Amino acid sequence: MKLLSQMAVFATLLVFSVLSRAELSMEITQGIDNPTPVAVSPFAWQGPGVLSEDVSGIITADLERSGMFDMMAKGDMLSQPSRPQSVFFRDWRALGREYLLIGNMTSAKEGQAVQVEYYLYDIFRGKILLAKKLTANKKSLRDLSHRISDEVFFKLSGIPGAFSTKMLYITGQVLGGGKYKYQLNVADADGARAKSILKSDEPIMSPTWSPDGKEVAYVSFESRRPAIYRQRLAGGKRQKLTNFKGLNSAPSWSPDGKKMAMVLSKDGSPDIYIMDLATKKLTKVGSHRFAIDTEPQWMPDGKSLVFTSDRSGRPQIYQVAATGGKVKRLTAQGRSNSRARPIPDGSGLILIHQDDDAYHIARLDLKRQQTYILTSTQLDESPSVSANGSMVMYATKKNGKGILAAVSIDGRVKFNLPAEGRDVREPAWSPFLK
Amino acid sequence: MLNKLKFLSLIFASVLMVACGSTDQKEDSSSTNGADDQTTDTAMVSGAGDGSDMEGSDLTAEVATGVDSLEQALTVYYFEFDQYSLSSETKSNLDIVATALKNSTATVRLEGHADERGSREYNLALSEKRAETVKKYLTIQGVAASQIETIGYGEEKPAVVGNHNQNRRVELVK
Repeated sequence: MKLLSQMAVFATLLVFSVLSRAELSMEITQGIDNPTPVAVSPFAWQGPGVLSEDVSGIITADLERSGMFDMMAKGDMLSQPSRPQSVFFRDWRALGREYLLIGNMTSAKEGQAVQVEYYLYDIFRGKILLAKKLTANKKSLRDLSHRISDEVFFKLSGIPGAFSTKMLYITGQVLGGGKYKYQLNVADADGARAKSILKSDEPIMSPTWSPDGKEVAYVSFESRRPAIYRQRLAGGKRQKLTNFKGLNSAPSWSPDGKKMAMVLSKDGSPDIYIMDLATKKLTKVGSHRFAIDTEPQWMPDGKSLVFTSDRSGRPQIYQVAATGGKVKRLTAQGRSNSRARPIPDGSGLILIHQDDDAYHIARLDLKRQQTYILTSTQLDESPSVSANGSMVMYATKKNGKGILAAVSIDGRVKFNLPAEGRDVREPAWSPFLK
Repeated sequence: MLNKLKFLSLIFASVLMVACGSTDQKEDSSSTNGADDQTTDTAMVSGAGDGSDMEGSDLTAEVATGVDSLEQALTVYYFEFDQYSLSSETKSNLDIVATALKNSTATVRLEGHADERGSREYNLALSEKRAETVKKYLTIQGVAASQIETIGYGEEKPAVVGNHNQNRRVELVK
């Protein structure tokens, strides 16, 4: 009987990819005060059939989502050039555009690669900033579009674009009668091409990326107890890393990919451990006998970890060397601070800051010892920083439902990623993908 | 109604069934009681998911001798925000539970939960602390530690979506 119920749990677990119907959409709620005016002229297509993706439309949406650009609507353009000889700077100056991107795509025969040519212009200086030729498979036009967005964004802002990255997130449903449904999903950073990589009737939590972006780790309760798993994205092969009595929680891959920080309560209280992934050897760091220690994260240099502990009464952020030793408290402002995520340049931490009775996403500047609150909603959690350090994806509640949202690390740009139906939470933004 | 300690009746039923030589008594009792052949007042409990499908009025009647007082004990224990200490009401209910468990070989599972405020991983640890605190109290009363399994679910399995007070809880399930 018991075996049968275990098998039933197994049967409901699907580790292969299933296309999800509920894709995330996007609505910008706040941009910067004086966004740079940019135009992306629709890319021309010469070849057999119709293209499955609107390349210039994807690029426009990417740049718009950064909040730094005022993107021109196609209908407002006086002309829609796709080749350098038909670009007239005067027209675009009259329209107040500072930059213009044009492009064209050609393919000789069905089934052959698509040749893409694109040019980025500085309208005021009358100068070409980028002129490139790329070859792409017809099926990877979305990847190609994000790649062009990355290059254009870098040229215009000096920050590497993170439009080609992906994200993990969890969806949950309360079915009633003590039944629940959980799903781990992977999608492009803009919410497109979402697919489920794990489904279960028991909770799935704390998804995180390996530094090479090829694997993910998470906590799954599928055996009716929490266990940490690692899973390859290609093929879905996975391995159970820990299954100790008590908590097995909050995995975090070291920057070199060789170790994993995690939380285990096998000694009675939740403590931070580092596992050597090759030998599976565990080392406890920064632990306190009675306190809750959780949410370890590696600092970008891999030399220390930050984590949450309630050793002083309420949750606060602490730091400890990866080799162990003395623990240093980092947060002082607010009622509590938790779930820190380092900014890639090491300048600060993004965390959940409790101010009176509300939970906001905040940035702790480590040099100035100053906390800057970035969001104004009440139940913000699970911050995840983009690979280029410019944006933070997080989970919040809208009309009682969990949704994903994003804010720039200076708090100036905000957008929501509303989804249909289910509760969406725990976004984890991928590293740069090769 | 939802929180009444009907399950303890089942523990006693289990004890009785051990005498009959069954090795599978727990599943037996759950399958006989989970079905639709129940009295209507217990069949449609609202969906809080506390294992109330274990309620079975027929079985309760069968083993009712001497356990009437246990009917008054609760199987869901509530906590203050970001706390895992037990209220005096919880303690007096646990005293009844402890007495029943000491006189049986039944095992129970303590499932800790948290409300949605604060980070998910912290809440997971907090909910496990809550379950562990209940376990510790029961073992101090003399219940064997081997009879109690604990787990924390954090904020992942809300009893009532958005209701903080009802979600900060430990549920005692068979």
